[in-house]
Amino acid sequence: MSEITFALPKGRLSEKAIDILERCDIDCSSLKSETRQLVLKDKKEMYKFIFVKPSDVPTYIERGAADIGVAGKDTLLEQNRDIYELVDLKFGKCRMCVAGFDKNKKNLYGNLKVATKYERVAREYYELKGINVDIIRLNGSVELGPIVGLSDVIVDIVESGNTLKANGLTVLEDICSLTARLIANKVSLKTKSELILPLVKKISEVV
Amino acid sequence: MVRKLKIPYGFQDYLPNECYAKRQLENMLSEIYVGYGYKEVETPTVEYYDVFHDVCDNDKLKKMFKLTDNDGSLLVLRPDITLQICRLASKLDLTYPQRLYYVENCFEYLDNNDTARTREFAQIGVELIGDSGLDGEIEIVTLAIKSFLRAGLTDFKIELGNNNFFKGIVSECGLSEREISYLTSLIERKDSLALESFLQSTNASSDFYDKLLLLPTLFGGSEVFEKAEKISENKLTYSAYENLKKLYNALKEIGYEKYICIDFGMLHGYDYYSGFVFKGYSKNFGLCILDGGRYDGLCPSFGFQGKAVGFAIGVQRLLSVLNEKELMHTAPYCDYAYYCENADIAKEISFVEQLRKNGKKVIKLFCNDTETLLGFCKRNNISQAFVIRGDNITKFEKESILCQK
Repeated sequence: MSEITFALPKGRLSEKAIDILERCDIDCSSLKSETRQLVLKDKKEMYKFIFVKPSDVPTYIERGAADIGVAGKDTLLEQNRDIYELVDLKFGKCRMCVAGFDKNKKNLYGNLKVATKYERVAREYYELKGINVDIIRLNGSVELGPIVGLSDVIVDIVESGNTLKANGLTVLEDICSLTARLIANKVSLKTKSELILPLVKKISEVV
Repeated sequence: MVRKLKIPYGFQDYLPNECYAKRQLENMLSEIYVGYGYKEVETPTVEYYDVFHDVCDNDKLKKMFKLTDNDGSLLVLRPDITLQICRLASKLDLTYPQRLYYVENCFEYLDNNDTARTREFAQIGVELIGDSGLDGEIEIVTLAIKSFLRAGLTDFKIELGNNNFFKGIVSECGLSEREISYLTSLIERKDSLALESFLQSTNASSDFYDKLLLLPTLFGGSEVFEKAEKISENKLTYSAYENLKKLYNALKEIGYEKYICIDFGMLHGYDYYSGFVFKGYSKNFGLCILDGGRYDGLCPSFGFQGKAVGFAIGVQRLLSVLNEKELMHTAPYCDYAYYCENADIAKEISFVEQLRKNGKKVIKLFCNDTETLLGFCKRNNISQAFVIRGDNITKFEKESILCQK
């Protein structure tokens, strides 16, 4: 029986997450095969891996459906879950930024309009600065906001800045820098500590 | 019609089997507490907001169901029973410690349903109010362990902490209250990275820096005491260390060592608890089931002296664990089923009441054919059936029930 359930994010973070697991001598051959299966195991059947949407990883962890997992700091900031955040995995580096047009026209009428996927992050950022904003929640292609006049600025993660550039936008303010993190369920870390702690230690040594 | 069948999110019905299992569990646990001399109390569902205002943090205050009274005063649906009991204890003689327990529902006003929490939740808990010291803490943890054992759990952990350990360390650092509150949230998340960068930004001394960075790692078995002692120079910190060590050793003597673990970085409810804190978990269930500790500050917040220690068990969560482990108590249905055909009612009553007097459960079907009766018995696992015709009682053998389709 698999003892530990490991939640991995599909998409941009998955390859590097698997890379780290391999460096910890965990057999990841099943994870690299072309498969549509959502639940995979290592050869020793010590780990059960589940692939989930990146923003769902903290949900699986908080409720204990997975013991340990990899999530972007952006997701963690936005969701503010009751979990342990154990190791900075140092990949998936990017920044949370405010972006808009170069000559950002000062909005003379009403509140600043902010389009974002990160509602909580944006709200807390502007609250701290004492600026009233209208948050417009979008699920993707946030850059369109200022272009079509839906919003004055956007709050989003910026990796290379190429998407912004291609659309004539620039970074106006830096909010914070982000990386992928190893997170754990609060109960699992205690009830399965003999399995999880050595793994956490190993991972923090190889990153 | 759909709207009429809906209930608000975060609330639930207990259908007969669930309700039976819940009541069984509550009764089993109550029995333990009664055996230790605890007496049950009930508190009102609605309280003044002011009762909670001074002792609960902002987040908790926000998450209260609020109502207004006709004089405009703000009321809340009971968010926490411990505070109510501390209020209630002002009416009791505390010369000797009072032992109290409760089985009640609490309410939390969640504003989004994407959470493992519910808006109404059943709690069963105990409070030991008055001066009881370490012995009181030993008794409370013992009751917690006995509760889990009685419910049928075997692979559970009771985790002990003491927030004075942290309080002592930060008392020497000159950080603001706001900074300390941020610090607790980082340590609660065991987020060493953010902790490190925060400490760098505050120009804390390297000594202080090292102690705090060690805190998220100070958890596990008895081996953590050695590491903890090394950073226990502060008086308050040392007293917390000593408290946990004594408690641990006492529980070990009782034979509970396998259930116990330690976390010096356990800082939940930092404003509420004063010193000793503990939690209860079951393996393979990702949420905390039991929560408790010492709250010596609560009675004084009502203007009288009284130390207190206790815990509460989340009944729904414990039931979920029992359900997953197939340890739930299922309701035994009836022993007998019957129907009448032109029956002599006096004869019927005297016969079935005699059965009930002997402790049998007897159910009457409102039908008039044998097939329905026997079919019902088979579906519900009832082994005995009879028909009353006039003043004549015909019993059916088990075989005739079993051979029903």
